[in-house]
Amino acid sequence: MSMKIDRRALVSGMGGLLAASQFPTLARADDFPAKDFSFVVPYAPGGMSDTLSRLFGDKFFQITNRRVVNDYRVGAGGAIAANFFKGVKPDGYTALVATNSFFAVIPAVMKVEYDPKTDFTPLMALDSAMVAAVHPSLPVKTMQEFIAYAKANPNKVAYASAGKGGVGHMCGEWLARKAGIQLLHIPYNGAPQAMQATISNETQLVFGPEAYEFIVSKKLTGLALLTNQKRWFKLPDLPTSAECGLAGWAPRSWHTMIVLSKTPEPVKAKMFEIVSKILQMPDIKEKIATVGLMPADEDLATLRKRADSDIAEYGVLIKETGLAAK
Amino acid sequence: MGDEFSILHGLAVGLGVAADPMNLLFCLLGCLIGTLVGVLPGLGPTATMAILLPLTYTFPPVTGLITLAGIYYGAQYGGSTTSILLRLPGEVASVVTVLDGYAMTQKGRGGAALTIAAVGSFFAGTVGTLFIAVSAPYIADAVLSFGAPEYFLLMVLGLIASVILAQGSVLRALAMIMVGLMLGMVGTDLNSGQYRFTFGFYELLNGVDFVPVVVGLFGIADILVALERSVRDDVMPVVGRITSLWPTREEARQAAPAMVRGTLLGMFLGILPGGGAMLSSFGSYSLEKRLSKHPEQFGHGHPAGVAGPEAANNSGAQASFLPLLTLGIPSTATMAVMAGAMFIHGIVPGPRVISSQPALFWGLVVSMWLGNLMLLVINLPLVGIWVQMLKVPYRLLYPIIIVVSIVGVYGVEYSASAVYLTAIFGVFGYLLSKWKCEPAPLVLAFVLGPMIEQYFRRSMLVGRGDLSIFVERPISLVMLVLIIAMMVSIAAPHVKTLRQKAFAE
Amino acid sequence: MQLSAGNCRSKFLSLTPSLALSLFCVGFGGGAIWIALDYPYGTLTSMGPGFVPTAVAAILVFLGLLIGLGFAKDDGAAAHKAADASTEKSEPEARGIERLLGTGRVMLFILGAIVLFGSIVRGLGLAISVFVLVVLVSYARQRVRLMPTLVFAMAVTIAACVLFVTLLGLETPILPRL
Repeated sequence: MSMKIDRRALVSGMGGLLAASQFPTLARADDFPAKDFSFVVPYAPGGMSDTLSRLFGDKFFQITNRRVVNDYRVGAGGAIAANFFKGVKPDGYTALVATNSFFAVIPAVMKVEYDPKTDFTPLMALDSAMVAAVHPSLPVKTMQEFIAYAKANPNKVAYASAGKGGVGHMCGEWLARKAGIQLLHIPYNGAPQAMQATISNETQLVFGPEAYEFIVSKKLTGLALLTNQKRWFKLPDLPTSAECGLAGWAPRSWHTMIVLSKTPEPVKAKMFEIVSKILQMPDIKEKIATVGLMPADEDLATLRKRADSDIAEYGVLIKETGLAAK
Repeated sequence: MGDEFSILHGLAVGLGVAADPMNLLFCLLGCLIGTLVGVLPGLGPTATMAILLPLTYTFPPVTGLITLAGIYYGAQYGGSTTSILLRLPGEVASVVTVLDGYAMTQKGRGGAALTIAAVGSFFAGTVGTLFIAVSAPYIADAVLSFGAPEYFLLMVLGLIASVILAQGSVLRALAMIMVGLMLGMVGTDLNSGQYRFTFGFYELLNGVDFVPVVVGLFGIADILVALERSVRDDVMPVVGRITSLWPTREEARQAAPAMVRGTLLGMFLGILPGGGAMLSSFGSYSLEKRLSKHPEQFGHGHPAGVAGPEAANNSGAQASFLPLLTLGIPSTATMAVMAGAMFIHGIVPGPRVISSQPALFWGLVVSMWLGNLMLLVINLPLVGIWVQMLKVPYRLLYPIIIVVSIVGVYGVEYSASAVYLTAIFGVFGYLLSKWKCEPAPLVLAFVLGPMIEQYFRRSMLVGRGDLSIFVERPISLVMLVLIIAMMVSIAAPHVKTLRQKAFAE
Repeated sequence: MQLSAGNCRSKFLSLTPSLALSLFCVGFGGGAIWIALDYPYGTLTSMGPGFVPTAVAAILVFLGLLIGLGFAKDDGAAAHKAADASTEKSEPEARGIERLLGTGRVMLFILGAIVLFGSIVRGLGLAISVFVLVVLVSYARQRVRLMPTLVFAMAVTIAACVLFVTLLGLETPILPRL
């Protein structure tokens, strides 16, 4: 009896010790932030990461009165920034402006020095609308009709992606598997080029938020929004893939901000609070909507689950398509 | 009739927007910054626009875009300056300007070359802007008739053109082209995801960057060669002298038709979103050399070799706005930054811009023309100032060149590896000059190589592995015939000499 | 003995650009083919990542051999005016070793300074890095005087910081981050 209690006490005591040794300087959140921030930007100036980093940087300054310095670590599709970020001090003053690729794709397709499950913690999620759209010359108006058409004409439908291993490629692979159809993948050098190929009927199918403009101007036909969550407010008539009978997880792309998981919990919570506050600002809301992103409004635990489910689901897709790191 | 009216109406609306004092001021500011970064090797307009993008967040959308566009075409004007005076190009386009522009400087005609470049750019800018205004609503669909096979053949044409612009041994030029193609293959293969020639460096996964290659092969290599000679001869090199700043009647006569042809060629290539704009300047150079009765004068300071490419470059730059404004497809990295800027201002670039944002579209178009006018006015007097650079003693000039180039190279992506690469390509350029090889064909092949491979493999995917895709499509067939004709005309004289040689032995 | 060795070397370096180029082409191309052996080759209509590199490298080796056999001399010897500025006109007699030392000095100071700049600019900031860069590259030439060089370097440093950071908005710290 007493043994049992003792053991329990011992275990919990050890747990506490362990926690204490992990966070030797138990930072108090009311001191935070006490100095300037640095955002690690993994892609070249002018891109979406850079833009988001600057938008958030401005607001961080408004809220905390601490400046944000951008630290550009460009290259290798983000792996350079991620590896660098793994080595920074886990004090919450350095954040990585990232996408879910940093969890689900980069560690699966190349050798990296971090474990996305244990090293990185996401602070927000801004979903890209992965719209599936086809060239209007195809005799289909809905996802169901498209699947029937592709079944009747195997290997006749080619889809364009922004690059091998990118979200667009994953969407195509996912759709082909989920619906049991054959699709030919043609990789392009960036999303605009993939869109161009599809509006000129070089390829017939494409995925991505950029399709919006072309759907509205009738140069493409929208089939579905790939998600098992809600519809996109910009195209309220477009059904989700789940509504089209393709239930469950669908490939997705979301922008996020990452802190190291070793960051003290109170600091993490404080960072999450700042980021959430920024996402509620009307001008930010408007800007984020213009660039085609949808804030997911999830708490830290849900964000963690979101990242983990992407790691699992993308992991399967990547393995099955033979893209995994050799 | 109705169309003409709407274009005139549009231009009137645009003039109203562009002539707003605030917009005029920022157009001028953009042009000045553009000229500055154009002159600096290394940091080009793309990087500058990306860096300055946040400053425009607070502007009204039109003003922001006018400023950025000003930087863009201002850099087109400024880009020729250091190429002509110091053999120091910063972009693909200016690599070609070096050939005859620097030769003119060596002959004391650097001022005239600068004037020709400025006037040629202005002419091309004016025609290009008008072209955008008139054709924007109609061009979108025409552009889409170019698919992977056509782009593949276009790039092959470009590669052949790079043989034409070589001056010495064709064999050496071909070797340089192959080296350039090899360098272009470094990085991740688009189709298979295979890493090629990366030697385990993360920094090389996206390929070798363009700026370090050019700055190394031209700028740094030149300094190495010049200093080596000065150490040996114990004299510092003299950079050059300048006679008149104005072109002679004869020079103007040679430059004028080249300017017109260059403008038209640049416009045609500029509207192709799959990478046509970058072909414009050296396409024009090859065209001029081919058409000229004295092709042997090219490379020795022929004014047409400056006027044609500079005009083509600028009209191509203007025309490359079209795919963005009518299709929403940015054709170059610079246009991608413009697209980003439009997004930030709540404008989605695409087919609906002209109808939903007429003030923005026409304001931008008219400001482009005003900007070109400002640039002409800025640049002509500047010619006199720029040539003073040649009076700076070389011992002071070369450290300045190194600082500006290297900080610029670093600033593009804040990357130390880009700086190291510049040093490596500096050594390589030094060796090339020892081996009597020219870097220009190498640079062009480096840029074209990856596209040629990608477009060919994409054609095969689109055609499901059938080579007949190249002859089944009319545009592609015409280009194929053109290519064969060009290859025959280049190869014929060499085959002849080879045969004579073989018979003689 | 020593002199003649230097002579030989200078001859090798300067008199046979064709041979040197040929060696480079064959070596570069051959190396590339060897590396590309690891990449799937595919066929013409369904290329793997190894197809184009192997083909291009093979052509390069072939061209290298042609150049080495002297085919490039005929049309290459006379021409080449543009690069004249960068090629030697008259080779001074002998002094091979001295010449090599001169070349070595230029290479060491210019390239060393650039590489050093790349490795310190992030940590030490723009000002110190540019200053060091200017001073070092200035020493690539002979008879450099220290004081004027330092003053000049100071001026260039200030100008570069104003130009790149103040005017063009480069996001790089001027002074070391503490």
